[in-house]
Amino acid sequence: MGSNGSPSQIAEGTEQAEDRQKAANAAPQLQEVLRHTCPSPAGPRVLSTFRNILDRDSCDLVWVTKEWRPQQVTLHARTRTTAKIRQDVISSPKMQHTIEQQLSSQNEVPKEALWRELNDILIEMGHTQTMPVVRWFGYVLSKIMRKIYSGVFVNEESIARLRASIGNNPVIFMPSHRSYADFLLMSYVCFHYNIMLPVIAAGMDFVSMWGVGRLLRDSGAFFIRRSFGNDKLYWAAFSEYVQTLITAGENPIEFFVEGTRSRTAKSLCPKLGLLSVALEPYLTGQVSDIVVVPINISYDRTLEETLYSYELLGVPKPKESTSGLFKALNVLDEQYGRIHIDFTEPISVNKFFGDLRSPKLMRPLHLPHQITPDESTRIIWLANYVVRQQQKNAVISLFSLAAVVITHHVLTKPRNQLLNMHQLTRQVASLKSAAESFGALIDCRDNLEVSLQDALHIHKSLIVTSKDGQVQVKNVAAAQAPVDPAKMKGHSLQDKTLQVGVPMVMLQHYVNQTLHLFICPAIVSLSVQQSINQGSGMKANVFAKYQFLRTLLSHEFILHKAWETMDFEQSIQQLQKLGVLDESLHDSMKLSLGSNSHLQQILCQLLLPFLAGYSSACSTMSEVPAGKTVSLNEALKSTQARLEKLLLSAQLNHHYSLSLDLLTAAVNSLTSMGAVIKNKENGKVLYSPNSNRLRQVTQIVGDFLQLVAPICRKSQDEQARLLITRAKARL
Amino acid sequence: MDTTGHGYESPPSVMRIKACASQEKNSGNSIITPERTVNTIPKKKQTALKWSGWGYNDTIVVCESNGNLYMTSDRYPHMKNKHVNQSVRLWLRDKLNMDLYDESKMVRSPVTPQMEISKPIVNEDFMKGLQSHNISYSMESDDRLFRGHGHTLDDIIHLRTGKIERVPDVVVWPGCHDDVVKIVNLATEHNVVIIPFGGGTNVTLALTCDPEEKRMIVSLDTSQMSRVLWVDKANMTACCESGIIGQDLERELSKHGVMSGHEPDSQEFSSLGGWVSTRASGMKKNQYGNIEDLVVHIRFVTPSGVMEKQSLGPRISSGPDFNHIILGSEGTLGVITEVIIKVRPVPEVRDFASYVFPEFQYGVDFMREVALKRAQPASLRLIDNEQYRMGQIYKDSLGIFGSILDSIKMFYLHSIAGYAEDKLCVVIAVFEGDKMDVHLQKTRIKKMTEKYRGLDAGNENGKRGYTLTFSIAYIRDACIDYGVLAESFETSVPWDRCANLCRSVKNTISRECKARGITHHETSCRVTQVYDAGACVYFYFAFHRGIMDFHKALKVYDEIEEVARDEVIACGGNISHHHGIGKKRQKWLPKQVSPLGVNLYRAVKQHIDPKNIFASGNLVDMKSSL
Repeated sequence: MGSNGSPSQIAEGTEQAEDRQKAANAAPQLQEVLRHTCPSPAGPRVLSTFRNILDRDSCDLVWVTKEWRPQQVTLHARTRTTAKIRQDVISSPKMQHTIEQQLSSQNEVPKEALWRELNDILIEMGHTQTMPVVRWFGYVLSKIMRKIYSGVFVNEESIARLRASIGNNPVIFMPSHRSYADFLLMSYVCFHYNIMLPVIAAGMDFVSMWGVGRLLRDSGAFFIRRSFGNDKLYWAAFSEYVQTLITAGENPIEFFVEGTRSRTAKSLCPKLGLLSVALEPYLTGQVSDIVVVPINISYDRTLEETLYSYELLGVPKPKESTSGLFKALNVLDEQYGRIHIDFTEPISVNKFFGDLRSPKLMRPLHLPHQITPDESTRIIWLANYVVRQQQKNAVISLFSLAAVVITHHVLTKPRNQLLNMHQLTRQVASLKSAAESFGALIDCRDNLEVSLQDALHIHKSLIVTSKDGQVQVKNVAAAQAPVDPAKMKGHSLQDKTLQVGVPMVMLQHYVNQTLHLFICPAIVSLSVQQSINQGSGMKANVFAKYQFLRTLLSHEFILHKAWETMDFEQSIQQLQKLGVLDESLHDSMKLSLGSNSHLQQILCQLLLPFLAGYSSACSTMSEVPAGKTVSLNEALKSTQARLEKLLLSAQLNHHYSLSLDLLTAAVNSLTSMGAVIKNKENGKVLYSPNSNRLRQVTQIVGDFLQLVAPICRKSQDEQARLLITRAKARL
Repeated sequence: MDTTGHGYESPPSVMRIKACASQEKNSGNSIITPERTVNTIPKKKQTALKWSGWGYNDTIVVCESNGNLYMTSDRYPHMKNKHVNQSVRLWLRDKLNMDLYDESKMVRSPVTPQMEISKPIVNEDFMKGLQSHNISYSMESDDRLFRGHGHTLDDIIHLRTGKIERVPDVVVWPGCHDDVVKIVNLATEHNVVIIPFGGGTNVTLALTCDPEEKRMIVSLDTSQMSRVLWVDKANMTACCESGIIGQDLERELSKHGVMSGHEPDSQEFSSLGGWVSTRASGMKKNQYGNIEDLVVHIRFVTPSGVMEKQSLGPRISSGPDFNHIILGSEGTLGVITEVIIKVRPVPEVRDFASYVFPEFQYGVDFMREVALKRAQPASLRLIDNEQYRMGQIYKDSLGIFGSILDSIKMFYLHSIAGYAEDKLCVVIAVFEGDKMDVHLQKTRIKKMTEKYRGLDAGNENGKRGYTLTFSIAYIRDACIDYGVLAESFETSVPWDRCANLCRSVKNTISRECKARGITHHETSCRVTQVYDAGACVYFYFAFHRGIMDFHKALKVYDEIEEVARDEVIACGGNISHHHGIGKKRQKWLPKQVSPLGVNLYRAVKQHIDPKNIFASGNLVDMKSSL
């Protein structure tokens, strides 16, 4: 590269560039706002404020039958029955307007039919929270959790903070979403601390599960169809339902800003739809503030880890069914370690949006609200901020750090050089201190060695330690039933690939838990390295490369444009402290690598699967002939096929590149960078390359990949030998 | 036909000028009242009214250590023989750290001013002119001080603490329209500032003098222009001089069997001219209209001449209505001297009613329904829970039988009807008209209350609620004695945003108090006016100053009120329903009326009053552009 113009220019289409520019302009002002509104907690977070709520004085039966006098969300709230809420939605001026004035006249559908349909929609949607069910369910959950978890740890300082900030305004809980267990945990915690139980937005897929739908409904879930595209009536009903919950302020509303469970354990890019709907009562002046509480739920071990691994590789996800759930009950035999829950600093929406509020007041409330560009920028910011807060308040398990070390070892060392416990402990220790300097709270209660052994023990189905202290990854794929190729979502991967792929993707799940800490430093250090290789090392040059990578990976990680500079400066400081970058610089505009090359290698290697996947996606798209288009699915399949070839021919050795989530993000990223053009034909979304730009992007990504690839070259066969079979492990 | 040429010389005008210029003598026309009205409040107001608080000197609120509450005069018959019971006492102590049983905690205002009033700035030429026209004036400190303030909390605190920087240099009392013309001409000629003064009851710092003003400041007190010049029963109008105060106006009109029906809370002391210049609103506007509905004709004296319409017709289409430049001008453009207003026959019956609703929202919904059906009685007000509880201090002292009856009532309300003591709210209604009308209205309202879970709470409560309005300002002063700062502010808001506005403003205030470490505070509100398109909401905010001195507490009060006003506007309310802008709410004016609106006002001001003679500084700060 070099003469093709600066990467940041290549990186963006003009339109996106403008949007981003806007966001960046809003940044300083908002940062100012945030400085005042979201003060960082007084001291660093510590494990000692977390308390295990399963470890309580009263027995479960006494606990679930305690007198229920929860702290109210808003003092003016009236408790409404399900029927009353439905009635309120139906009789709301907005709904009346939508049906009487808009839908019936536009579509020439009789009004009566629309009202009937609305009623059906609301019945399908509505929650029916009832305390007896909640109590009974809470009892069962207690028993289950005691069996599979060694503790549910809640930051009690954060509970006190939450309590202090509710009482006047509607509250939205926004937990991170890694597992189905999230649904139940939040209500469980609220019940424990006598906080009004949340009403939870859930996907419709649960409703079809016999008994479970009912149970969740009774515990306070309401159900939203996964996609309802242009169904205006559904949209109106759904938004009015959410808004009546907000304005009435009886319960906190809970939804997952990531939209769905993250299969990768990385935070997903936030979805804005539900958030925008929920904020509308504020933006139109119906409520004067909304309190948003981002919540982090950290799992030592994710219930769905194997399932996710298959899913990411393209093996179809079984439809949610009750029998499936019972099958999943064999999870009850396993140990899943600890859960950490942290309610982060409540955010006052008014502080975020206060300056945008008044122009809405000239419109009557029943007219549909159009989100303005300013509001939209702000909502994107808020959504990203929420996810960042979730990440910042994670509790990182030692196993995640071990996973980084193990993956690095497997990928870089010759096969006869096995990792032993001693090395692992040493490397985890140094990684731990690095992570801590990036602000992480690591779950390490005893001395490191003991804690690490405990952590590994929880994951004994994936990682085994032999008697002589050697650490190895286990093949977990073999036990799975053969996969019908027709059902594969992606390319039909060979068994050979899956056998290494499944455990490696599982391991990556835990690596991913740490990536929000390392991603910016990793991008910076790779940028520095390349800049130096090209003979520059100037800060501006590094920044341009950093900007490119950041833009490229912005669908993969939470890298909001507005934080670009802040993150850059912070990462440089941190890296200098850790010796990854040279601290003793005379020229403040020039950067150079420091002595800690091991950490630098680890950081860069973290980017490998992403760069490899993105690079292949680029190649796939480049091969689409001019004038032709491909669907997303076709693009994913052929990229996976290409990657499998690379894996088999030992030109690549990280199976996580095969991840469909990763490849989808790659296509989206290329689209927003203008390298791929997205077209809609007959309701189908199709992609075609934008040759010039794609060539440039491919080139740059390839260059970066070259830089990280040589660190870890090893054939799949070799790697396979590293993994011992399940049978052997039992011996 | 040449009508325009002679328009300004038309007979009614001449006749009135004669009536005025002749000072005392009757011109023979029976509808012209020659005699000066006997003013309830003397020319030297401070001899009858408190110098540092609301109302009559002889009337203060007293609460004895046994809980007996009364006023020290017979002027307010409904304030006799009240008893503050233990539960109200405890509630107040809890909320406002105000123990009504403990008089020792009170610090009453000094009986006479304790401050030094600076020497007047005198413009000799102006004074000579004044003397040559034989217009009454005074340069005594007491007179000047009384006209240098209104009843804004700031004013009262400053009076009590002796922190008044500037007062008018002279008080003049014109006797008629012509006197005013002379004064304004003199002032314009000699570059002297005029600040018109009516009743002095504003709560917007409208009378506060600019300490930087180097010119002589003349307070033009209209109180001696208080005649009802004529009453025309054929057209149901009356021509009155602007200085007449509400109670005198109704008394004079009642001699003719008519009334204006305009009843702001300040009715006893505020003047007709003041109402017009602030766009006032009365409690019974549903029946009689707000001031802009009542006004038929205004005479307005400005530095550039006299402005008035030449028509007594009920309506006129002649371009923009220039009356609306006068209405709400807040003394910045000229002096209102005479106003022709609509009058109504004195009603045959006046009746009251009150209803209890389980929650505020029900009350608002009920009010909305009344507006929709246009069934509003003369006055209809919704009182929130906090104010309802505050109002419990007015409970009559009951005998044993009374207390038993009362507790039975309360038991029914809370336990059987299920109305929570800390949630219920009250609607108070006043009905006026002939017997049948009132009966019909009452029946209709009663029916509507049922739809919103309203319970009839009897007409005695209604009557008490209505008459107590006039004693609220006295209570405010008593609060200050206890160290509690209290003030009201109001707004108007569309119906669908009403309940949220009330809630949000209360939340905001409570948040702001908390942030400032104020432990004892209370905010209450009432919905006082019912319009087709919305309502008027009136807030009372009070807090105990704790260890803060009065100035610090006042500063904190103003800060909080400002945040509250921001919230009012953010919730869809506006800058003011009837208090006006004065110098207190100027900050929000450009946003409220658009910058063009402000410039339009500036242009008018520049044209009418280029020398800024009417330099009260209300509405828009003219100093920045002049």
